[in-house]
Amino acid sequence: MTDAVHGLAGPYALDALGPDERRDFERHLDGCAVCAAEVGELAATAARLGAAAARPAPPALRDRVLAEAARTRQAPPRLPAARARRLRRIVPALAAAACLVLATGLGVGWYQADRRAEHAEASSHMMADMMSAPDARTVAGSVTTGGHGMVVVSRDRDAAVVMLSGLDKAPAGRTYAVWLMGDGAPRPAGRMRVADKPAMIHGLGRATGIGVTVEPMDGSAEPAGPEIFTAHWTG
Amino acid sequence: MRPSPAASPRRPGGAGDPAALLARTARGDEDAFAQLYDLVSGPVYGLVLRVVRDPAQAEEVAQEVLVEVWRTAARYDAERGGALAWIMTLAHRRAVDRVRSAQAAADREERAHRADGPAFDAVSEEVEGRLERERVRRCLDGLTEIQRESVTLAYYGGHTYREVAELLGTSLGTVKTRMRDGLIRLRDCLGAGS
Ligand SMILES: [Zn+2]
Repeated sequence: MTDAVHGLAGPYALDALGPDERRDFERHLDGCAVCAAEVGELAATAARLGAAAARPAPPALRDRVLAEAARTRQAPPRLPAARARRLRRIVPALAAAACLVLATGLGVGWYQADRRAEHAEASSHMMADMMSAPDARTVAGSVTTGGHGMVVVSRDRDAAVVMLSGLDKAPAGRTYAVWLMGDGAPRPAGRMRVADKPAMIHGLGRATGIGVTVEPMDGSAEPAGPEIFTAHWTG
Repeated sequence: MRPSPAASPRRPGGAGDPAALLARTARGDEDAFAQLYDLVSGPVYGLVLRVVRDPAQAEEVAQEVLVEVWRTAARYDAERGGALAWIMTLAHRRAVDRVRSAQAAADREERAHRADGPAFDAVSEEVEGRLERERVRRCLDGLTEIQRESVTLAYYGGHTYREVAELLGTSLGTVKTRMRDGLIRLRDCLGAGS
């Protein structure tokens, strides 16, 4: 997908796309976890703009709505297939959008760092849970190889979720390494490989940024390889 | 998605919690729907009125939205965000579709000017609502001018980003970006203030 498509999350959340663009972007959302997560957040903020415009509804409206509801048949819940399709908006299928996931391999040098990261099911629940943290915030950044990425950070949870799109598998013998930055020297926070799931990082401490570099599979004490992605937040 | 003070003003799980009421509504509980109506009709009507401007049309659209909430309650997915946020998204989409319909086309130019008016023209006496409105106003004030205009012309004015770019005499790329970073800044501000 081109950057132009990814860039429509803001207008979409404000219902500011024309009909064709809206349809195209909704198709894009089915396969792009980064945009789907971002839209969810931006739409929640837009909804607060909406709630701020509240004013009492005309009294007669209540009876009309309740009466019409009483004679309106309710739609059934979505079918499982539709539900699965919607979940893929948050956690896209492996082939659709190459997101990074923490590797579960056993490279000795990464063992300690991986302990801080969550190998287990990185799921839509995880994303939803992180975004529900009262202090959750989102930082976006570009992936140097052409995709884009997003980090959801919560100091309360002492955790972050990293999602990157548009990345190929790491070169043979190498891995994507995640670093926590901004609190002295970069600290290794785990490895990622191209897969279908976002990655969760625990133990942020006082870090104010996350970086991803390409490093040898058996470990690096500090980021030495090519930089793939960085994102910073304040406070 | 984070629940916000506006999106869930009452305690979760309690009688005044929109998500709990929506879940009961999904099972056909008309009492729950009536309580849900009492919670959300003000935000829905206010937003729709803000966008479509005309009280008679606003009432019509609000009615459609609220009946739609009843009809599709079973399709609400809590994983995708708060219940009030879901309802407000429905309401905004409907309102915008209404103003963009052919019938409204003639009013467009006039609306372009009226959209410059105050974002908060009416106040209910509900303290909670007033505090939220104050907070949103303060956070809007914290945006850059072009962020604020991009966000409010689109959201309250019902304009597409192409129209906004034209109204502001700026590029499409700038408007897209300002909408996104404006919303992010708003989100951070609203989160910090609650
Ligand atoms: Zn995207």
